[in-house]
Amino acid sequence: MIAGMHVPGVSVLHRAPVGLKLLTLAALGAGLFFVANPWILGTCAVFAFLAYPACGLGWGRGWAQIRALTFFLVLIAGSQAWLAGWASAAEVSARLLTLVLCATLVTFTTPLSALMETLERTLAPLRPLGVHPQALAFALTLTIRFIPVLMGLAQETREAMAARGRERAWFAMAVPLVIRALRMADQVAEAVEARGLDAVIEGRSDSHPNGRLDG
Amino acid sequence: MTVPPPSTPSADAIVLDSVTVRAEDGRALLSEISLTLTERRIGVIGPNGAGKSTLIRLINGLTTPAEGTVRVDGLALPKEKQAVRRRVGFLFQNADAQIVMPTPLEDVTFGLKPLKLGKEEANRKARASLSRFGLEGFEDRPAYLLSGGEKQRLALAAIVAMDPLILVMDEPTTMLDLAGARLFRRLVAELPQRVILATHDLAQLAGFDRVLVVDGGRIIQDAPPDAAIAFYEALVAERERVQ
Repeated sequence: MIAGMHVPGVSVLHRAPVGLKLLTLAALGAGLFFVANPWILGTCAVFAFLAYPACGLGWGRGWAQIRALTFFLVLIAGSQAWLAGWASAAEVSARLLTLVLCATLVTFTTPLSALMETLERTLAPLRPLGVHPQALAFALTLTIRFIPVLMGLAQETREAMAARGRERAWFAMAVPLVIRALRMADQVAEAVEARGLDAVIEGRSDSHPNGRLDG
Repeated sequence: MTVPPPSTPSADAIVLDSVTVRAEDGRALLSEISLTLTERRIGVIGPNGAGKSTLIRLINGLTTPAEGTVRVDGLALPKEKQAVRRRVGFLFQNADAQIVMPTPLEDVTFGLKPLKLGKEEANRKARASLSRFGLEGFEDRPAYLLSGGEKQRLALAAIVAMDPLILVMDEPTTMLDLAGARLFRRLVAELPQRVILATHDLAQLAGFDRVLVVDGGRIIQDAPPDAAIAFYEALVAERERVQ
C-alpha cells in the first residue's frame, strides 16, 4: 500500500503547498511531545481521523491506518501501562496515533513526485558539502516504488520453495530472493541509464544540454 | 522533433564496423560484426544466448565493444553516449525494472526531465503519451497494480514521450499474453520511429523490412522477414534432428 498512496483530490490539503504540509507535520510532531494531557491528545487523534473524510479520502483509509497500528499500539500501551501507569499509556498511544494519521494524510494528499521535488529543493543548500539532492530524492522514490515489487519477488520465491515442499526453509529462501533483488537492481540501473536519466539524477550538466531533441 | 514519415526510408544509419564484444572471461559474445542498418523496421532473431541482446545493446551504448566501432547517425559510441541516448530509446524485457516512479503519470513525466520542458508541458506530453498507448485513466494508479501488458505499454509510453528517433526493443513481448502481444505489435507498427526488435515471437516481425539471424555471436543470415524466418526455422529443425 506504500507505493502509489497518493489519492488525487481537490481538498484544501491536496492544494496546500508541499513544503507547508511537511513543515506543519514536523511542527505538529515536535509540538505533540509538549502535550501530556491524554484527553487533548485523544481529541487530536479524533480530529486527525475526521480529516480523512473531510479531504475526500473516505473513512476506510483512516480505519486502515488504525488497524495497521493496532498491534503496535497494544504492545506500546501495555508496556507503558506496566511501567508508568494507564494515563501514560493513553498519552503515548494517542500521540503515536495522531502522528501516524497525520503523516499518512500528507502522503495520501501529496504526489510522490511533488515530495521528491520539495526534498530536492530542501537539500539543495547542502550541495557544496557533497550532497546530491537529486540522487537522494531518487533513491527515496525508488525505495518506495520497489517495496511492492520486492514483496512480489518474495511471494514468488516462497511459492517456488513451497512447491518443492520447503515452505519453512527461510534461509534457503533468502539466498534466491537476494540474488533476484540484486539482479533487478542491476536491471533498474541499466534502464535508468538507457533513458539517459543517470545524468539528471546525478545533476550533471550533460543531461540534454540543448533541451529538446530536433532530428 | 523531426521523425521520418513512415513511408520514407531514413538516410541516417547505424553502422557497426568489425565489432567484437567479449565477456569478462574473454569469451567472444559477438565476433567481427559489420553492419549498416538503415531500414525502418529491423528484426533480430536467434536462439537463446546467440548474442541478440548484446547486439542491440551496442546501439544504445549499454554494451561497449572490445574491438571495432559503433556509430549511430554519425555519432560515435561510447564517446557521444548521451547524445546517442537522446536518439535511441531502449525497451527491456522486464517492464517492472523500467518503471521507476509509483504511478504511470509520474514515471512518464520523470522521464521527460532531461528535455527540460516546463511542468505543464511535461504533464501534457506525458498524458498524451499514456493516452496514445491506451493508458488513459491509468495516470494515477499504482504502477505495481498494472498488468504485464499495461506495464510494458507504460514503459513504451515513457520512452516514446521522449521523442527518440530510434527504438530498440529487447524481447518486449516475452511476458505478454497473446492479446497483449498483438496489441503491442499494432502499437509498434504505428510508430513513426525506426525500430530494431530482438524477439522470439516471430509474428512480431510481420511487415518488417529486414531480419538478422544471430547465432554463436555472428550474423548468419540477413534477409527480408520471410526468408530469414524460413532460414531460422530450418536451422532449429536441423538442430532438433541432430539431438
